[in-house]
Order: sequence, then structure tokens, then C-alpha cells
Amino acid sequence: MKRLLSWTLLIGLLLVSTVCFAQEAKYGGTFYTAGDEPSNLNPILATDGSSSMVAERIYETLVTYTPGLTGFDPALAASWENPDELTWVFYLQEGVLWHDGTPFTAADVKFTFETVLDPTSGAARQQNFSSIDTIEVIDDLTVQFNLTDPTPFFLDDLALIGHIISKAYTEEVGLDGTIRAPMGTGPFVFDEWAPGEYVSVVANENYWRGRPYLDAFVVKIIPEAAVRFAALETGEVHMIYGSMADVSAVEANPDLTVFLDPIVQFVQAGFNFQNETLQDIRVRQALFNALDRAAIGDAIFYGYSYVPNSPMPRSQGMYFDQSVNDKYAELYKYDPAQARALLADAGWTDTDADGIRDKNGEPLHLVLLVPTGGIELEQIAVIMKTQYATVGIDLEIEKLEFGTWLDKAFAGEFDIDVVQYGVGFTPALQEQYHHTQGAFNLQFYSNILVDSLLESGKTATDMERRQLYYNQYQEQWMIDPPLIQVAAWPAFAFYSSKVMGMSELPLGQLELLYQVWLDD
Amino acid sequence: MLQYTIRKLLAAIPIMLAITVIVFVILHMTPGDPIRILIGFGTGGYSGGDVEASMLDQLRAKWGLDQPLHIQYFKWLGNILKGEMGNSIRFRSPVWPLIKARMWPTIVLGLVGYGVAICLAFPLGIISALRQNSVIDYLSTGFSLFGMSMPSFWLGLMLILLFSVTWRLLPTSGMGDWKTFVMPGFVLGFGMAGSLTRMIRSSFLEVLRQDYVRTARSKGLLERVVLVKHALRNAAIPIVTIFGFYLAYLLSGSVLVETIFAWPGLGRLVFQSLGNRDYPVVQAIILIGSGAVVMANLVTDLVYGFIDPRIRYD
Repeated sequence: MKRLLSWTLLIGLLLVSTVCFAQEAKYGGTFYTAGDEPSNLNPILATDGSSSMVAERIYETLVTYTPGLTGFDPALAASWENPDELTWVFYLQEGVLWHDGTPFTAADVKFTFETVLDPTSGAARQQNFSSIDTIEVIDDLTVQFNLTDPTPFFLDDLALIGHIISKAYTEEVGLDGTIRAPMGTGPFVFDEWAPGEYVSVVANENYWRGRPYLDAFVVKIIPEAAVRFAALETGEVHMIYGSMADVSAVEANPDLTVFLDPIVQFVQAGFNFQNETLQDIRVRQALFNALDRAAIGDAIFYGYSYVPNSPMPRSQGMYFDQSVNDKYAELYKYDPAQARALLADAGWTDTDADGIRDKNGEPLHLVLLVPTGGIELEQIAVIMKTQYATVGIDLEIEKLEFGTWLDKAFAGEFDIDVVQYGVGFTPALQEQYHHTQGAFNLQFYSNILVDSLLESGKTATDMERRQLYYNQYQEQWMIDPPLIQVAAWPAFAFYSSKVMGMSELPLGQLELLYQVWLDD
Repeated sequence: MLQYTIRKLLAAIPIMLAITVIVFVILHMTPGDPIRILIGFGTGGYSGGDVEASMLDQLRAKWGLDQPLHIQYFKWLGNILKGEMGNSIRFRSPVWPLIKARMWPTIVLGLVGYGVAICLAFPLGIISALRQNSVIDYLSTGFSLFGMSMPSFWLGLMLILLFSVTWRLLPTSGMGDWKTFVMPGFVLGFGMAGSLTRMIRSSFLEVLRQDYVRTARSKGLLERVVLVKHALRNAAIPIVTIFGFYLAYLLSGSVLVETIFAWPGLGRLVFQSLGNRDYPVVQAIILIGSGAVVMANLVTDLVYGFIDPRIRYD
């Protein structure tokens, strides 16, 4: 009996130690992922996700978002203060080194933002930081930003796109010289860019937060989505950003895991306000009512999406107004009978019994512009055509390659355009899409109330007031919608189950890659 | 022959110039703005940049895209004559190093494709000509039709599914050890082998009916000698011609194959650059590609002389 007890104890101890051992983070290994070829690895010049995927492992920002997007954590700045609306002082971390061994100082911060604001640099982020008036270096580890206007989203922009580049290195090799030979302060050091094959970064042994667990991080350049997925299945890569079509295959595979990325994607069908027919709110509402968005979510997004009735995604928690969303869910619900009544009320009736409504001899014919490449968008376009036909709207689908689509969309050569995009984190970005002067206002939408609420929201430093402005903005937007938010869903990442130490993070799972390890 | 070569090379100059003009005009007439594509649409998750119209104009001016088309063309041509290919809009770096890094993979893959095509097409073509209307002939005809009509992207994906995902024998993509050459080389060569088999079969059939083959046989020569020395040599001219043409096929066919198998070659670079409207890169690759085709035709012409001494270059 005693013997049995001691054996049981021994086996139990062994089991416990094995479990503990399995949970302990291990150093070593190379984390492979697959993506498109980056265009350049300088974060202040890069505009595409594939470049950021690598550059953001090499470079760091002054602050980062806390998980849950409720505030900010220190990064290159240990702390900061905001003595008045127009002044921000950052106290930098001590002992941070650039990958070439030189110390990181306030002069680098000043140089970075002056370069971003220099119109000849070609930096894509000038507009975000346009409220910076001057930057003062107080001492080696203190830097002060003086702003021209109150900028409540200043920290957001710093966290999202305020990557710091080295003054000495950039002056030595030139801005273009850093594109293929980047050098930052981050957890990974640039190793090699084999054109068309891969980009690799290796662990920074002197990283100020401690050496990353991984020895290296490699992005294999695989342009075909189906081949990327095959590479994940065979274990050649550990992670890919996947497509909806593969979700069920991943869920069925015990070696793989689905991770939801909080970055919300919207599919929108935007109205062209240059078209008089679409200026009529009754026609727009009919287009909402004739479309079964819940069915689209189930059929195409496998239930991972929700039906949005707000220009803002749920992920912008503190600004998203659930009551507005619920209120307008009823008005814009799927109701073909209501759509028919609204169209008839707007004067669109089928006088010649050909199945298509007409008014003053003109049929209700609308051109839907769709960029090719995203299978989901093409499927949505077909569903829209079918559903609109049942209420007497003739929708013509025009599928175009992305470059051509951009041209036509910006020239306003469409009636409705379908597009899919990531909405970002701050409501300030709403201005780009829905303000009369917005850079991506493809709808030629102009609503004075919406404009003024967006402007007020962007500059209100008081949190409560800001929230109020954005809540009102959502309401006004829903009263006079410039587009149909067809579906909202989180971006996907598919992982090998060997990847450990992952957590859901505001900027995608790669954000804290230095905490990730591989269990082989 | 030297005179002939020089004459042909001189004649190639206007052809190349015409190609550059046509490519330049077509590329710039295609809708799509490289700067808009560079900026993209929306903020994405990872780069939340904001843009202003004035910034787009600045970038257009930086790349000279705001100038009239003919000025852009002559500037580009002037640079080419000086041996400069300009800078890539997307990669913000000189075009030549980008292309240079991608040339070797395309050449090697092309050679493997040629090798596969030859290994498949020659035996099949010759056997089916010798055994006309036999089962082997019908099978070979079926194989040719399959090869010609099979879309390479479909074949490529099916091979990946079988050999990589199901059987785990070969890597899915990329260029590395010999294993990485198997699937892309086969897909590239397979398409070419289809039509090459038909070509070899029909040339051979024609030659085998000739009097000199009958004479050779009636002299009591070994069948092997008849086939290799008399038949093959005479059947070679149309085959050599089609080989010359296939260089263009290998360049264009490799676009799909390189994209599926993530092969770091020129085909993928040109495909990606077309999507991005990266004019300098596309123009340079097409210039090099058309130069290669012109050269291949010249070499084909010269090879005729070696195969058939009756051909003179006056």
C-alpha cells in the first residue's frame, strides 16, 4: 500500500512537472509567417500592411495602446504629461539603444517628426501630425511638443503611426537608404531582404525590455492566398492572415487555431450623391430595406460578422453608441415590402411591366462598382443584384481590377461602390470618409451637421464632450446615411498551435512578438 | 553570316523602339494611378496614415507623372540610352538591382521547364509518329490536349494539394533545394510539352514519308541510324522554330507559375508591378523580355544554317 502510494505520488509529481515545464516559455526557434512583399521598411514612408508587418517589429513608438484600447502604456516614453492643451512633454526610457549600439535620445524624436512634417520627405503621415508646431529637446531624455491646436487624438496617432527613426543613421545613409536597410530600437534587428523570397529579422540581444524568446521572425513572400494556407497546413509557416473561406478548415484542424484580430473590417456599399436618384433618402432607405444583411453575414462571414448600424465599429468601445445602433436596426432592417412602398412613394413604379421600376421613362438602373480580388465582395455584389431585382431595381455589376477601381471610384463613375477596409482605432479617422472634404469621401457626401460634429469631436479635449459629439454624429449619419454598412467583422489570423504566449492585442497579435515563443 | 547577323541586329533596333512606344502608351492609357495605389484605400489596421490631395500631387511631381506623356517617354528613353532604368515607384529604389535579383530564378526555372518539355515531348512525339494510329499515338494525343488545355494555376494548386498538403513530399512554394524546382518546373514544362509533342509528331510523320528515308531504309541502315541521322535532322527545323517562340511563352507563362509557387522571378515582379502601375519596372522588364525574344529569333535563324546547310545567309 505504501509502495503504491509513493508510486502514485511520484507519477503525480512527474506529471505536474511536465505540465509546468510545457507552460514555461522557451527561448529559440524561428517564427515564420507568409505575406505579400513589403514595399519599404521605413515606417514613416510605408503605406502598406506587408511593410508595416516587418517595420513595426524593428521600430517602436513613444506610447502604445493598453490591451482593450482603454488608455496608453509607456513604450519609448517612460511617462508623459500634458500641462496644457497645447503642450505635451515626454520623458524617455533610459538605456535604450539603437541596433547599432548608439543611445536613443530626444534628438531622434525631434528629427523623426520634423522629417514626417517635411513635405519633400514623402512621408504618408503628415496630415496626422499637422498640429505639431515645434518640438523642443529639453535634455537628452526629455522632449516637448508644442501644438497649434488642441489635439485629443495625439497619443492615438503616436501609438499607431509615431514610429521613431534614428537621426544619426538616417543622416548617414539618407531616408531612401533606410528603406532596404532599416535600423530601429525594437525587439528585432533587420537581417535580410531576399527580393521575392523572404524578409527576416533576428532577436535584438540588447533589447531594453529583455531579449525576445524567438531567435528570428521571417516573412515568406507568398502572394497566393490558397498557397499561404497550404503552407500553414504543412507547417512551413506558423501564422497567416486568412480569409473567411478557410475558417471551417482551420476549426476542423487540431494543429491550427483561429485568432480574431480586433481590427474591424467594414464592407460598405457607398452611394454616389452626384446621382439625383440616390440623393432621395427614400430610395436610399429602400436600398437598405431590400438587402438582407443578416443573411449575408451568415452566408459569407460564417456568423463572425454583425450588422452595423453606425459608421463606427463596436471596437471603438468608448465612442460607439449602442443605442443608436439599436434604434436604426429597426428602421433599416430587411423588409422588401417596405422597400417597395418607399420606392413607389419616391415615384419609382413599374409602368411597362418589365420587372424594373421606372420614373419619367427612365428605368431604375444602378451601376455597382466592385474591385476584384476579394472573393467576399464579389459574392456580396451578386447577392445585392439578386435581392434588388426582387423589388424592381436593376443593378449592373461592374467588376474592376483594384487600380482601375480606385480610378473610377475617385472619379465618381459609379452609382454604388462596394469596398472593404479596416476602420482604424480613432473616430477622428471618420473625417477621412464622411466629411465633405474627406480624402476618401468617394460618395461626394456633404452634410453640414455631420461635418461640424466631426470637427468638434476631433478637437474636443474633454472626454465627455467628445463622446457626446461622436454620439450625435452617429445619429446624424444614420438619419442621412451616405452608404450601407453591409457587414463588420474582425480580421482573422490563423495560427499553428505551436505558437505560445499570444494574446488578443489592439494592433494585431504581432504587436508583442517579443513575448511569443514556440513550443516544438 | 556575320553580315547577316549585323543586319538582323540593326533591324532589331526599330522593332525595340516600336515596342517601347507601344508599351509606354498602353501602360499610361490603362486606368489606375500609381500614387493612389501606393496610398491605397482606407487606413488599414497597421498603417493608419491620413492623406491629402496636395500630398498626392507632390508625390506625382516627384515621380514626374505630372508631365506630358511624350516628355515622360523621351526622358525615360534618354535614361535607358545612358544605361539607367530609373527608380521603382513602389519600392523607392533603382529598377536594375530589383530586376537583376529576379533574373536568375526566372532563367533557371525556364531551363527546368524546357528540360521537362523536351524529356516529355521528344519520346512521345517520335513514338506516336512511328506508331501512327496506335494506342500509344492516341494516348500521346490525349496527353498533348491535356497539356495544352490545362490552366497552369489549376494544375499548380492541385499539385500543391497532393504533393505538399496531402503527402508532404514537396514544399508548397519558394525557391531553395531541388525539391522546390519539381512542381513549378513540371507545370511550366507540361504546358509547353503538349504542343511540342504535336509539333514533333507531325514533323516526323512528314519526314518519314520522304524518299530519302525510304532510301536509307532500303540501303539496310539500322532503324536507329535512319531515325537519328536522317529523320530527326530533317524534322528539326520546325522544332527549332517552335523552341524560339517558346522563349516568349516561358517569360509570359512564368507569370502565373511564379505567382502560384511564390517563385522570386521576373514574372511575378512584372505581375505585381502591373497591379501597382509601377511604370519604370514594367517598362524595363518588357524591354528586356522583348530584347530576349528578338535575340532568340536571331539565334534560331542562325541555328537553321547548322542544321540544314542548304540555308544560306546572303
